[in-house]
Amino acid sequence: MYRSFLKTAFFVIAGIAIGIMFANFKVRDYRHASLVIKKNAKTKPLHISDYNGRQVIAISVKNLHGARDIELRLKDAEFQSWYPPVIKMPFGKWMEVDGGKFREVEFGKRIPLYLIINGQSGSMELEIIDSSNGSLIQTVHLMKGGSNGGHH
Amino acid sequence: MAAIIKMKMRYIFMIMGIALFLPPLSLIPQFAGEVNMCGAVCPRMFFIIPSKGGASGLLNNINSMWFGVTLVSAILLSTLFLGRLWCSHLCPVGGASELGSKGIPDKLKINFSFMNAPAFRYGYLFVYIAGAVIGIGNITCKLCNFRVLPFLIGSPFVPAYQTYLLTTMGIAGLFTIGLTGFFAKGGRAYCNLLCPIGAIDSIVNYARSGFGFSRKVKTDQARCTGCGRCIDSCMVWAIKMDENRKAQRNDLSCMSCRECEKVCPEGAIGYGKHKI
Repeated sequence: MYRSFLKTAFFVIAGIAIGIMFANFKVRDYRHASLVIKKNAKTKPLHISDYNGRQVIAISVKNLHGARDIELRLKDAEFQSWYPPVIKMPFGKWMEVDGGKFREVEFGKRIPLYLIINGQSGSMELEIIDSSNGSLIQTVHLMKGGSNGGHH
Repeated sequence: MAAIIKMKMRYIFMIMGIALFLPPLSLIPQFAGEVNMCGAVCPRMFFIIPSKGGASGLLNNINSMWFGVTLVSAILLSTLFLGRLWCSHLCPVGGASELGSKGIPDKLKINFSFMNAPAFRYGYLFVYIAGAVIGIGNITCKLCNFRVLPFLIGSPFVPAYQTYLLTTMGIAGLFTIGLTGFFAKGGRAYCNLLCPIGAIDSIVNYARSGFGFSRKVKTDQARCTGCGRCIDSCMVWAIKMDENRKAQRNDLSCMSCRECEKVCPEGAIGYGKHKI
C-alpha cells in the first residue's frame, strides 16, 4: 500500500517535471509569434532569436483590416504558408497564396505563415501592404534578442 | 471473410480517420476552413487557462477553436455512452502512430508498462492546463503530435511542413513521437501519457463505469484463467493480474480497443452494457 502510494507520487512528479521541461523547451532556430493586421494599430516589435543562421518564425497573422489582398515584405526573407489545401474540396473557399502574397483573405481570418530569415543581422522591418492599391498598412519591427515572441 | 473483416474493423476505421483528418485530403478540417489539425480544428488548446485575459481569454480561445471544441464535446459524449471509441478507432494521430509502430521490429521497441500511466498523465495534464497561468510555462504546440504527424504525412506535398520538420523544434517533435509512438510497444505511449484529450477522455471513461446505460469492455472473472494474453495485447497497459491471478482492467487507461477480447482463449472478455 505504502509502496503503491510512493510509486504513484513518483510518477505524478515525473509527469509534472516532463511538463515543465516541455513548457520551457526553446530552440534558437524556431519561434512562434502572433500579429494583427490593422491600419494605425500600435504594433509591438517581434522579438526573435539572436541566432545568425537560418531561423523560422511561425507567425499567426490575423486580418482585422478591410483589405482582402495582402502582401508581406521583408528583404532577403522567404515566406511560406500551408494554405491552400493540397486537394481543395468543392465546398470550401480558399485564399490564393504566392509566397508572401495573399488574395481573397476574409476579415478575421488567421493566416499561418512561416517567415524564414537567414544570416540577417540587426533589426528588420516587415512591411504589410494592401496589394489592391499598393498602400502600406503597417510596419512591424523584428528585433534580434529579447523575449520570445509569444504564442497565439 | 466476414470474421477477418470483423477482426480488422478497427484498422479500417483508423485508416478512414487518417484519410479524413490528415493531409493531403484533410476533408474534415476543410469544413472549418483549415488544412490540418491546427487553427480552428485544434482540440488541445481551448481549455488551457490563459496567462492574460482570464475568462475573456478562455472565451476567445473557445471562439477561435470552435471546431476543436465541437470535436472534443462529441468525443466526450461518445465516451459517456460507448467508451473511448475516438481514441481507439478514429483518432488519426494515435491511429497513425499505432499503424506506424507495426512496421518496427518488436525487439527495437520500448515497453513503457513499468510506468504508472494515470499518475504521470495527470501530473503532465496539470502543467498543460495551468502551466501558463501559474508561471511554469506554456506547452501548447511544443512537441505536439497533432502538429508533427500531420506535417510529416503532408510533407511530400507542402514545403511549409518540410520547413517546420527541419527546424530543431520539428526534429525534437519527430523524436518525441518516434520514441512514444513508432518505437513504443503498441504505438500508443504518447496517447497514454501525454495526450491531453486522452487524459480528459479517460476521466469520463472512469466516471461512467458505474452507469447502467454505458457500454464497456468487461471481464468475466469466473472464466478468466489468468493466462495473461490480454495483458500482452493491451497497448495502454491497462490490464494487470491481481493476487488471485485474475485480469483486472483499469478504466483510467482502457481505450475500448477490444484487442484483449480478440486474444482471450476463454471468451471471458466482452463489450456491452451488462455483465457478460
